[in-house]
Amino acid sequence: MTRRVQITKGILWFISGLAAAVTIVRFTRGLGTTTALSDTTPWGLWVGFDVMGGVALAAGGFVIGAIAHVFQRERYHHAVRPAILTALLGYAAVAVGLIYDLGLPWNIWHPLIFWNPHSPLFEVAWCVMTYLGILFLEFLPVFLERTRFQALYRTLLRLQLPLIILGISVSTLHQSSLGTLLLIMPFRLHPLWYTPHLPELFFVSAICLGLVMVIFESSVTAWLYEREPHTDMLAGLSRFAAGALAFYLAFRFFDLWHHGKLGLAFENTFEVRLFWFEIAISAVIPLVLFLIPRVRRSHTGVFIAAALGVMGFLLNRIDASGLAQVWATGADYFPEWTEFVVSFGIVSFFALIYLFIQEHFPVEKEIVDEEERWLQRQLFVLPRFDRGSQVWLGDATFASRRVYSALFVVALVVGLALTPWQPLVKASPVQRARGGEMLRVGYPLGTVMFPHGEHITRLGKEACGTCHHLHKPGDVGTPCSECHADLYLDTTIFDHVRHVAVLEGNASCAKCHPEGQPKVRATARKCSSCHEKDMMAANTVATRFESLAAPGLRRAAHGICIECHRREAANPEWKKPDLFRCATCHKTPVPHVQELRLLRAEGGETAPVAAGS
Amino acid sequence: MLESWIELARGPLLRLALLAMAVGLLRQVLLQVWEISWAFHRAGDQVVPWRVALRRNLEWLLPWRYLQRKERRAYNFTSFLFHVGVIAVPLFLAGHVAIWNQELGLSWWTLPPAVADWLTAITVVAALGLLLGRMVNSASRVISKFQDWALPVLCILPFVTGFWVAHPLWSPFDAQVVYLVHLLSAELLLILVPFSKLVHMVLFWVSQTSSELGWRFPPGSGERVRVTLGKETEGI
Repeated sequence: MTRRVQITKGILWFISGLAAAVTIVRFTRGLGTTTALSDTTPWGLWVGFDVMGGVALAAGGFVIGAIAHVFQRERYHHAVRPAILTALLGYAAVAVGLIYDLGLPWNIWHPLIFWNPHSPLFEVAWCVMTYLGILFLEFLPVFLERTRFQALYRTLLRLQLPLIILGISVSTLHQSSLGTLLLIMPFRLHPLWYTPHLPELFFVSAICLGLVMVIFESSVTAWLYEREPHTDMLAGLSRFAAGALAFYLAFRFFDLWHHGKLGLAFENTFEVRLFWFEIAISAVIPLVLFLIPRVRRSHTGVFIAAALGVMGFLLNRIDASGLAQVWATGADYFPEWTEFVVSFGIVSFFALIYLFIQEHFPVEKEIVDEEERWLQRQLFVLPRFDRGSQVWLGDATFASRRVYSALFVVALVVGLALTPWQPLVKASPVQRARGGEMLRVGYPLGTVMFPHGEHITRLGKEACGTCHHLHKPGDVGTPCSECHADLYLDTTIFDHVRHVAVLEGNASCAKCHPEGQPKVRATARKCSSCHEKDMMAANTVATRFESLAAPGLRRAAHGICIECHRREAANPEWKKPDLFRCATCHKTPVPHVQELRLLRAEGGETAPVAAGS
Repeated sequence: MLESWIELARGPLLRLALLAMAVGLLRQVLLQVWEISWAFHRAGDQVVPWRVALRRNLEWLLPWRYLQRKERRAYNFTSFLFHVGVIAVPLFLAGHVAIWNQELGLSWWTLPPAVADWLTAITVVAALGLLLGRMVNSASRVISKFQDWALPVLCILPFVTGFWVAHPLWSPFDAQVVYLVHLLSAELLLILVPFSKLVHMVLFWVSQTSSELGWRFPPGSGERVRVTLGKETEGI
């Protein structure tokens, strides 16, 4: 293990620790606490970088497989195993990233059972799963090569070519179907990115990214493990990359010209600047560098060109899935630091696995053999002692294990200290519901038109308390928004100062806090012991009236409405089995959306213009 | 101003300190188990002396025999008292259990308030006694390093301030300041646990076991020592 590897691993462990902290918060507190995502920008960095970018990064696996095995270029056989390993880990990382990004991650298995063949995501999900399996089988020989399972090893080697061909087909399908995903949003994706040929464009750019990624990765590994890079192979791959990049550029600009959108590329807007920046670092600069023979044979030159290409195509995926949509939504999304930490953390974690596999299995024989020699040498290194305590520091593997785990733990704790524990949601106050028969609940952001009169006729007057579970003292029929005053955030409904004043000062502590017990909420009298008269008899909610915070209106209403609707949906008499589904209440068009658009237009923001209109 | 600091210290900082301690201790335990099993794996003699390890652990948990030793009897006894207080008071104080109950709904047996008060006082006195013993005995003084002095002092702080929090009338300082110091010093202590000698609160059983399990020379060790020292040509 070289010094470079040790330092790199330390850094990777530290980032993983930070990400682990954010992971804890993300899965206990949800997306609202850890991301800047909103209903208008539901796709952020995690989709753009981890999922879209991750899949494309892993394209090296099938590209190199095709070059080496299908086109029989023996020179590139070195690159096959690392490329397949990258692809395997890349796809695993995509699956992990997806779990972070899904609002209901425990439903990730749904595409297996609930088939929706019209959905591009259905195709993506199946292709990712199948391809993961294929990649695993492609890579399994590496794990088996130095074990006693030689029969299985040889069988798998014989299956190598069919597996690679299968892998190429599946990759082709779903690299492009990630582009298909975006076809659904012609009015949301900026016209410089949107084209009906998005699927083909995604496929071509995945090939480019796959090639530059293989170049990038093998020069980084060579640097880390301090060995000579395969100059011939890199130069050859650079030539392939140059061809692919030229084709990509030609395709993209021909497509723009063909759809008459080339003029758009010369306006002066954020998107246009982004477009040119992306084109420059993803394709133009790497292409120029790769075309110079001297650069192709220089390690630094190849590395710089490949690194630029990798960043550029990642940016392309981030643009397509987020940045190039902002113009249409007017949202001001910028990723929270927690999003960056998770994205880099997943990469770091899988990079650590990559290094581990490189060091323990014959991916590149030079590395694993050198690692074994190094371990042998460690047995003959003079022991090192702590200066203060004279305690043996352990051999190198001990010491590094201690350092890495300490870095991880410190990062985890620092991360937990920095990560917000409360939702990042901005205050979204709810206005009092208005209207007679038809109440406008949750105005403005979460408006639902609630047929109040209809509910009264159907349920009868004595059922009021089902929803009006709790009144303010001395009030009747208190509206929801009095306590659930924000759409998302909790509202504190207990006023200690007021209680002290009404109950006449310090002498009255014992009215709520029993003598001789700590004066904390846990030991205080329950609110309901005094406020029972303010709770309605029919209610199902206020029996839980122990918390001093009223949840946000969204959660409160979802709780109370869906609970009842679910019960009624199960009643065969109504013949309304879908009564509890979203669309029963959330009908389009919701009146406030147009109003919000108008407000935005008045505010001087450019109103969204549909592509091609 | 002070109130917002207290809010911070009793909410996020407390959670953070507990988490830091838990994660840090988990790391220490996992590393120990890993390293012991590795050492054991390389050893020539692969018998696990379960009984010896168990007996030693129990002997140290209920140190009846060690308290009867002739040498440094007062010091041993003080140390024992200190450990009883330092474990029992934070865990079984009624006020602390009430916090656990409020935050997580957990609840367990609590010390009667009077006993808790006396135990706190005893703990503080015992800690001072231990510091004194360390100062007086020249052998202890020589092997003591910074954390050996700092940690007992840091242990005393939350106990003294905790006593004043429970009995604000006896406190010479402002109640809120005392409360804040109580919280912050206890949290600092919790965070330091996995990164200092205090880690013995989970590793004590390992240290009793590891000497039995790990301290064995692997086969061929003598040869390796010779090679390492560059003395292959000399006889043993």
